[in-house]
Amino acid sequence: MTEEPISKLEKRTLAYLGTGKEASEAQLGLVRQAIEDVKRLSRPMFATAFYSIKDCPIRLQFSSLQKLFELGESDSVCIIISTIGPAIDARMEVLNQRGDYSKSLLIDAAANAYVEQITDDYQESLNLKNPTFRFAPGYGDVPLELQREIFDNVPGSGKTGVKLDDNYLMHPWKSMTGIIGFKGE
Amino acid sequence: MDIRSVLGKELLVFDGGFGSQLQARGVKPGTNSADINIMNPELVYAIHKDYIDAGTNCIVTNTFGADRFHIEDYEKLKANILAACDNARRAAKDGDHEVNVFYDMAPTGKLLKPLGDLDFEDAVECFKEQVLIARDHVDGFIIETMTDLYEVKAAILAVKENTDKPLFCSVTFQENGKMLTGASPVQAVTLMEALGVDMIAINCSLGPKELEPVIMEMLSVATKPMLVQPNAGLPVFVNGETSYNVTAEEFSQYIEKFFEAGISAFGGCCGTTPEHIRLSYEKVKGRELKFKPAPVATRVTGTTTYVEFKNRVVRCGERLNPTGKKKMKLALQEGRLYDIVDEGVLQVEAGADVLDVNVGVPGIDETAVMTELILNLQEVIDVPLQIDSSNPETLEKACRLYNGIPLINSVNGKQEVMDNVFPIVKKYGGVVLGLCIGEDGIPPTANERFAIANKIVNEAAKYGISKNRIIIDSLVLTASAQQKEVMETIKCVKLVTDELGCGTALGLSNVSFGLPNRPLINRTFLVMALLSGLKLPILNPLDKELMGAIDAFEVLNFTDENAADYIMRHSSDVVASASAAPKADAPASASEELDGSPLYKAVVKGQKHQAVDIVRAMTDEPLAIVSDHIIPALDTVGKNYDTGKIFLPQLMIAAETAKLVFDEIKGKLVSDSGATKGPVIIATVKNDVHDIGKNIVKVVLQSYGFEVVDLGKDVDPEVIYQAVCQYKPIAIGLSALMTTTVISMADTIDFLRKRKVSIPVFCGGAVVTEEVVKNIGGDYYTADAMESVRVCEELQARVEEAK
Repeated sequence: MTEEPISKLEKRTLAYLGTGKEASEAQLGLVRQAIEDVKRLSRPMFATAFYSIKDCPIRLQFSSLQKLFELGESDSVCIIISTIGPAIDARMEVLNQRGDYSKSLLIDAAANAYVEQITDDYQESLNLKNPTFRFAPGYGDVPLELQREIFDNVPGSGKTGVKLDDNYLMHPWKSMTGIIGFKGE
Repeated sequence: MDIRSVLGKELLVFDGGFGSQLQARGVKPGTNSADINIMNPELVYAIHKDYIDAGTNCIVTNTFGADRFHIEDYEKLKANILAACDNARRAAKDGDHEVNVFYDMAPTGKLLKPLGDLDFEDAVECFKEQVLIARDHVDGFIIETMTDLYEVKAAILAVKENTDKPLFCSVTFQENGKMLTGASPVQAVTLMEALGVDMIAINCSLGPKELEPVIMEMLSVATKPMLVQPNAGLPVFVNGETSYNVTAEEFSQYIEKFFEAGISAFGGCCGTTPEHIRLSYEKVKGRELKFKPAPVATRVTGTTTYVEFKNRVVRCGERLNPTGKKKMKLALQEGRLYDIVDEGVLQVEAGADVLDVNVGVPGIDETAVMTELILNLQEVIDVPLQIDSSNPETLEKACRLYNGIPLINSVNGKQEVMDNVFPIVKKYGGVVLGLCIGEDGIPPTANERFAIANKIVNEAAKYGISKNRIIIDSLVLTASAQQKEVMETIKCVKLVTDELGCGTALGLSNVSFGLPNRPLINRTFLVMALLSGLKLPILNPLDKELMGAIDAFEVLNFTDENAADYIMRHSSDVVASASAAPKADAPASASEELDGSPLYKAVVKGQKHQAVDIVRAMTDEPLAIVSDHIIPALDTVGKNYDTGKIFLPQLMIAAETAKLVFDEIKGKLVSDSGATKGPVIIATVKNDVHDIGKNIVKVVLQSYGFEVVDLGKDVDPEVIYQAVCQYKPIAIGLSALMTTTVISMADTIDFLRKRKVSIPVFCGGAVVTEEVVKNIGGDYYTADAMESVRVCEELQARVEEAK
């Protein structure tokens, strides 16, 4: 049997499951199966908005963001909302009810890794000039409350099917928001 | 204009992007675009009008997202839809040429069962509601931006069951050429055409360049005219403004190319503007359409695959049928559908292209079980299914719920049966097996059976069902009882193939009934039938020799070109010599050999089925099973986990296996023997909906023999208190994931302490630490599931001591 190299997606999934070391064949098998399931269930959707930093309707004056923008000499921001859709949530619920918790955990990890990957790929396709690290509310001094402003100011956020609840959690769960500075002018 | 009469003859020009136009005209992002119909009707009118002035003769209402899932209040939904129709109508009337108004129907945004949680019929209802509101105010309907063919089916049924107006249907593909749920262009065309749409279409997601290969593939198989509506590429940010990267000029060049390839209509999707439409229209205006319908094919579809009946043999697995199978009969009666799904998976792995599904067992609700089983099968099996029932109601319901275009087994030459079955075939677009049974049963000669086949084909034509959607089963009789009629069957296969041009099917296994070495007879009969033209043998795919005979036949018959498939399947065959050949099969998991009892090994390896089978066969005392096999196995697994040899999912699989073994012997364990432990109450605290960590703790505790009362997630302190009073647990486990919900954890402990509950509380979760637990008044901090086992074992020992 030829050994397939471990993909970035598999590595990320393994990291979510807490194995930093070399994965065994059995572990890789479980992870690969989970990734396959996740891909089958996924329905990626994206919404994007571009603003120049000086007149962005979303508050950006947090020091962690400003530092990023300074480093990247950004004059514009790209805001992304991405999701792999509601099927993963439904699937995990079914697995939990069935008592198949191990599979649910594997799917959870693979879905986390997958939503990151599709967002990376999508961001890549936008060809942003000098992009900064993708930042999200809830990290550094950027409050979680900023999620609301993001959803109010990204056209097409409704089309993605992602909704915010009162605790600023996104539903479906496997969804992301991202703030990226870049050179737009 | 009667739209249907001009389809494929005259060019239809649809409009372009609507949402992007709204934003370009100052609508604030984040506003529900359907609300604009009432808030600013003149703006909607103006966009319609600009498209009409650019040459559009089919405009689409501004109703993307106007459904019960996006607008919950029915009155508001209705007002929105009616306003959208009115805005479009007014603009159409003011145009300088004739304009048709199409109602735009978009996806629900939800995923249907079994992948998601939306019931198929609820999806149908959601679409039906829109059709009923809009049908008297528009000239036709367009279902668009569909990413899932199952939802497409729901939408098409909703329209066709409630109006006769023209229906166009448009699907969306990703860059890999597949729909988001994995369906291919050919599958999409097959489904939309079979369900009777007037025009097939593709829109959104990609620009014209990326869509080109998909459009060409769809055109190559389309028997109905086609509409294309690409995006203007991807959004880009230039000079401080958002735009799309495909210019109107570039867009129009592609539209011209597609026109030459045979499309009958075009429009645009996200990012396209009236200018894109105007330029495109100018390029092709006045030219004759190049639409040429593709030859009609016989195709059935599964969730992500399709099967076409051409020159290759299609192998139909026969094993999902309880006739003569005790195990399956029992599984059906006991509702163990997963066991049946496993059998289906085996057949597909063995090479079945299609699976026959029959649940005819006395004493069960055939329709309910059939539909449930189909849902279960289609969750994991992507090949097409053959719905097999003699009950028209079962066939109807199953065909309706089926995700795709099914094979239907069956109709026959009896008038009553044809009257019942053909309307189902017509409505749900299936391919039907026609059995050569007349009013008086199965006639003995080939010619008489052929006459029945003719009758079936002629009757089907009355419903508009062409003969390419009929596969004739000439019926196999038993060689031991009706030896001279075996050849009549073969002759009939040849007659149907040569004279009628229909596909043919045969259920093989019957032929050998009552004879020794049945596989030999089956195999020989199969080859005889294949040579006469048999296309759909219904057989046991697990019979390697039988499947191999088909592989060999296809080489000799020059249908497996260069013997490619044969070589792939048989290059590692071990040809048995006269003496017994050694078994070539290696054990499935050869990774590491373990010392210990079979049960010990099965638990460590997490082999659930084997473990249960092993324990069922064991005669040891239940307590000894626990102490000598399960606990040592769990200790090994725990040690492997602690040392990083295995990861969390493996620990859990072993725990789940141990739990299944416990469930098996639980009844035999004497309650006061100390073998049952607990109970332990666990819950994720109020306002927190994360339950993965709690579930891990649950299954690991259960694997160590603890009785666990799981109160779920987002649990009110009062509910926990009530459970404490009822179950008198030895410990209470609380889980919280978010910093915001650790407060709920503190509140819960406070609530319990105030009510004099002194039972120890252990806490865990991503943001919980030793210090947090101390501060909120908890007793133990459990960093992971294994730690919670140690804590509970300790508490259990204390309880035992106190007794």
